[in-house]
Amino acid sequence: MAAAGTQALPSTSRRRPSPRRRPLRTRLGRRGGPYLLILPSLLAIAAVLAYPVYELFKLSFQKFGLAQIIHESNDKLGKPAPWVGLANFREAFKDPQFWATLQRTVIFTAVNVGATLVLGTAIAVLMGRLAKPIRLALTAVLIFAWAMPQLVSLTIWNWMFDQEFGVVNYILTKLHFGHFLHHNWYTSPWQGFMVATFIVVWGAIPFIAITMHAALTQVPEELLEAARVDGASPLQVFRRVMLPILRPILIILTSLSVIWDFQVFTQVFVLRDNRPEPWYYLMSIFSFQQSFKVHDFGYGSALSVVTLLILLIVSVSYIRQMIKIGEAQ
Amino acid sequence: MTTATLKAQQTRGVAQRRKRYPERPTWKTVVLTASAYIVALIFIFPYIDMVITSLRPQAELGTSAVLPKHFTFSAYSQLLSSGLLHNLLITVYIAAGATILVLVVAMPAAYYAARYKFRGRILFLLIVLITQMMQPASMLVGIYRQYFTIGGLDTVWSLILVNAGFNMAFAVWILTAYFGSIPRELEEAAMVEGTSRLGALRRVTLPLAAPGVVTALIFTFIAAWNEFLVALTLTTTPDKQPLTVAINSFLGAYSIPWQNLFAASVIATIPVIVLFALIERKVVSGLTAGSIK
Repeated sequence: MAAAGTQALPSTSRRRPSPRRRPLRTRLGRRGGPYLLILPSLLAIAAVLAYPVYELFKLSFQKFGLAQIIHESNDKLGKPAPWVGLANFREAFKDPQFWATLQRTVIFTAVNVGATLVLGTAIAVLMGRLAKPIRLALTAVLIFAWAMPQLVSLTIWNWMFDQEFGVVNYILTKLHFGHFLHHNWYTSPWQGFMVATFIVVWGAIPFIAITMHAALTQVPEELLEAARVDGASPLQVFRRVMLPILRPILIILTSLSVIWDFQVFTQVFVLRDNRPEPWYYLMSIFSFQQSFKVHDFGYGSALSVVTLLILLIVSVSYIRQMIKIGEAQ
Repeated sequence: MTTATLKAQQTRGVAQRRKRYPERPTWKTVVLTASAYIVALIFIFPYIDMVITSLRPQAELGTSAVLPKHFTFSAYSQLLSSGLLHNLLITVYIAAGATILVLVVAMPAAYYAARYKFRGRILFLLIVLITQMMQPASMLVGIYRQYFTIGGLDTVWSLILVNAGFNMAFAVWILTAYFGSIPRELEEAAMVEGTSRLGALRRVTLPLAAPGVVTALIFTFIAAWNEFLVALTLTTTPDKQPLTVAINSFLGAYSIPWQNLFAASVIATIPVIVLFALIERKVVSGLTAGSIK
């Protein structure tokens, strides 16, 4: 009793903060002092992300080629970059290569996103119906695939689709799918993109499957039970009960997948040994080649700007969903 | 005592009835399990191939035997004597540097955004979200021009900056969620007990937010560790390149030393798996939290 009393006393006396400290804290609290806490992150965003975007936009309105690169290294040679307004964009819209690349990128994105979401969800549903030890094993395997560095998995797939040593050719021949020994997968762009799609989808499925599985386990069982008792068919249960509940997470996953797949670069670039042919160009690769290989930085930047604007439109739905969730919390 | 055994029997009976899988598996179970094994095989196959090939002697590369007749660690010992170890070190610098930078910058911002309804809070979170959309792939020219202008090509610090920048959004987002989930009253109680705000932060909030902090840090570390595209664009000299770029330059060679390549891949993958296994659950729950009510 006595001990409790003595303990209680100092704490009551401390309840009032010392008068010296209080004004300091209010000053910090009221006069934007804490804004100092978010300032570094805003500065970092400005310096590391906003500035390159600014450079990108600036270059897209300039003619910036070899002459300008030389001029930068020596004032007396070459020419400074002239402003050309929308000329780079006009050039793009007249360039058949641009339209072909854009179309290719859109189709590639659609196929990848569709395949990833359908297969990922199917695996998530499968995971929910497995006995626990098998489910855990499958999850572990998916995590392994998810964690593998993109370049490493690419190296391995590159090796497995190799013309001479490739295990894929070997297996396909053994399974009597046809004569695949010494088959070169990249002479036809269709087959080359099939390989790229396979690798992209392979790398993207684990994230979708594990997230969807987590989301599915959060759907209350009673709701499904109630629907079944009321005589709903499995398809109706899925469409009328599951889908509305899963809508937010589906929107997030779809938008993220579109954003990621629209900017695929490494998979195709590395599969083509860092020297992709024009018929293997995606928007990101086209921009890279125009800038760093053709040394037309102005045109290359314009291509990137178009890509960013398209992505901005796509991400509106994602951002709206995230803000909605943030407000609900 | 009889009641006890009776009860035991009853519970056993209940347990048996609850057992979902009967002695003889149904066709459905068999099909489900089989498809699970096939899926698992597709996803683990590259790993098996990677490890086996890295241990296969040069002479046996062209053979179709599943397992090599002899295992050799020569690829790994060659790796130790080659320059790749230096590239590994560069990767460690970049990943560690970016992680520390993200920690220092993202934590205060996330704490503030979670604790106060300040003017421009929504705008701040919006900016964070928009940056999450951005991928290096469509900004390479801008990034290159920036570091060209300020003399950051072929340096480790430029890669640290870029990696930190691209991963900050996720860190701020997940940390805001974590800080927000810790009741403000806990902090206030600690302050009532006489600690300063910083003391409350250090003794109460941070320990509680530790899982979130660890998740954000490991996520940044892994992303920076795996980053390839920016490093490919910003570095040209081999001894300034991280491991991913070094592995890629192997692929361009006329005759590819596959075993060495795969040994390097094994080394590049191991830390990622270990770290990833630690945070996977947190990443997923961070994403699904709140989206389902």
